[in-house]
Amino acid sequence: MTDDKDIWDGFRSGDESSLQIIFDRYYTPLFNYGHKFTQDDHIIEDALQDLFVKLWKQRESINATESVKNYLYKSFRRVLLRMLDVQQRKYSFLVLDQWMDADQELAYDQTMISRERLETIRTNLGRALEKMTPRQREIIHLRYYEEMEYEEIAALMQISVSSTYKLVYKAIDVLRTYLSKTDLLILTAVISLKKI
Amino acid sequence: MEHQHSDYNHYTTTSFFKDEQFIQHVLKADDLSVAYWERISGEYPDKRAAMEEARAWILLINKQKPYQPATGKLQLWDKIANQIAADEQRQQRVYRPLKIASRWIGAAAAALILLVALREWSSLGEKKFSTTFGKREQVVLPDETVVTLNGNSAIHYARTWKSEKPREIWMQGEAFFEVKHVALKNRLQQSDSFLVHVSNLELKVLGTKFNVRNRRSITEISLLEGSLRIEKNGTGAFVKMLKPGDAFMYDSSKQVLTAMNRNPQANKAWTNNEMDLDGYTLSEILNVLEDTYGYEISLQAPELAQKKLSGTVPAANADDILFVIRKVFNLKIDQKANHLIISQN
Repeated sequence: MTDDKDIWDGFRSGDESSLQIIFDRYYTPLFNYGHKFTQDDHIIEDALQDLFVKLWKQRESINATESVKNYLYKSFRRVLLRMLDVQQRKYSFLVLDQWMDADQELAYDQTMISRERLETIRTNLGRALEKMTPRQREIIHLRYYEEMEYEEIAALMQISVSSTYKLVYKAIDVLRTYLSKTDLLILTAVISLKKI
Repeated sequence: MEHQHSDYNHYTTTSFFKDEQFIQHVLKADDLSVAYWERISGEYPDKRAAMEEARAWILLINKQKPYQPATGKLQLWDKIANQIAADEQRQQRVYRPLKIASRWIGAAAAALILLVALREWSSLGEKKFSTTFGKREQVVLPDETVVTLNGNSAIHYARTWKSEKPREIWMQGEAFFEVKHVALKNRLQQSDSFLVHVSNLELKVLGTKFNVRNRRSITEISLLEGSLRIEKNGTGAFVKMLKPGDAFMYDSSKQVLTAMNRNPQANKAWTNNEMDLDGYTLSEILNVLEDTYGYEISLQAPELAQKKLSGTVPAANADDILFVIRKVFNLKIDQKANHLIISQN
């Protein structure tokens, strides 16, 4: 497979088939990322179309890039958020896809815990994520799903690296707070049982 | 990966979840990380549940299958490709003419600037005078030398004549020179001479009056006053001193100089709006009409070509000459624009 950077250079020098290769490679990851913001496929498609048509139009002024992925994610995020903003939709972000139970199988195979226990963990994680702000959820997704470094996340979300660390810290804090509450709940349940 | 041994006593699920080493291990386990975390698991049996939970969190998030939209990738690319094509067509229709226009305007502006600059530069370096067919002009040079230009003739010279250098002039066509004598008596210097470049000849004079006619490959030099030296450099080089009253003819195609049996005065008759026909054949007169007045002439009576005339005719314009030759040779002259068809009446 030809290196992303070479394909990118080909596209910048006016090769439309190179742009098609880029589209081919990033359609699924970008669609998936877009799906985290909105569950309306039409908006994601419009954003992707807008992005690739713009890329072609501006190909002569687009720079070479260290990471095509980061460039595309950043541009796509900007286009999509603007579209959602125009439609006055709230900034939302979904980390765990509730319609995709099949994922569990994979997670189950790679852990040694029981299916029932995994289901509980999943529910707890889902609830903890719901307590987070959309931006906190997005950063969790970028860190754990996209496996991006803090510098990359900072560039993508257009915030400083230190803000990125703070955001992650707060997100984890939400997780801990929620988890200690559930632990407390279990604890009080045990105590009340004892009382009876 | 170098593993830093931390104290995991206070670790909770969240602590493992955010631990960089732990994340690395869950996502990209290698032998070293496996060994490390197995050891930690052995050292902290009470943390195993938290570790497992944190591991599950990471995998639950990381191992999700990407979302599969209902519509396909190909349809979307077709839409993109169509829009790109439509945009480019529109751009060609709207912007390309503009682009071409702006490019032309740019080129025209550049050419104009160049032209102005060239004119400026050339006029700085060189002075030029030229006449069209049938027109005459008198030019006074910086040294007060007077040059009379016949029709279809030109001279040019360096604008600045340096005092230590000979005066130099280049000519084409026919011109009569009255060169101002600047040399002091008996102190002839290089700078006192006046040079005329004509054909591939160099005419070197002091103060003189002479006529030069350079038409086709023939250069006629007729000296009226003073002295004149004809120099030819390069192949077929020669030097010829002329005395007043001499008339010489140089054929550059044959590279030969021959004396002309002609009164030099006759050769400058044109400066007085006359034409001295002594010694001229009809074909020579017709050549003058072509060279000086710009006619194209077809002589359809070749037997007349070598007929000679004598006398002086008025020659203020070509009609005067045509009138005379028509009467004298009994010719029929059909004129179509500047084309003359001459035949025997």
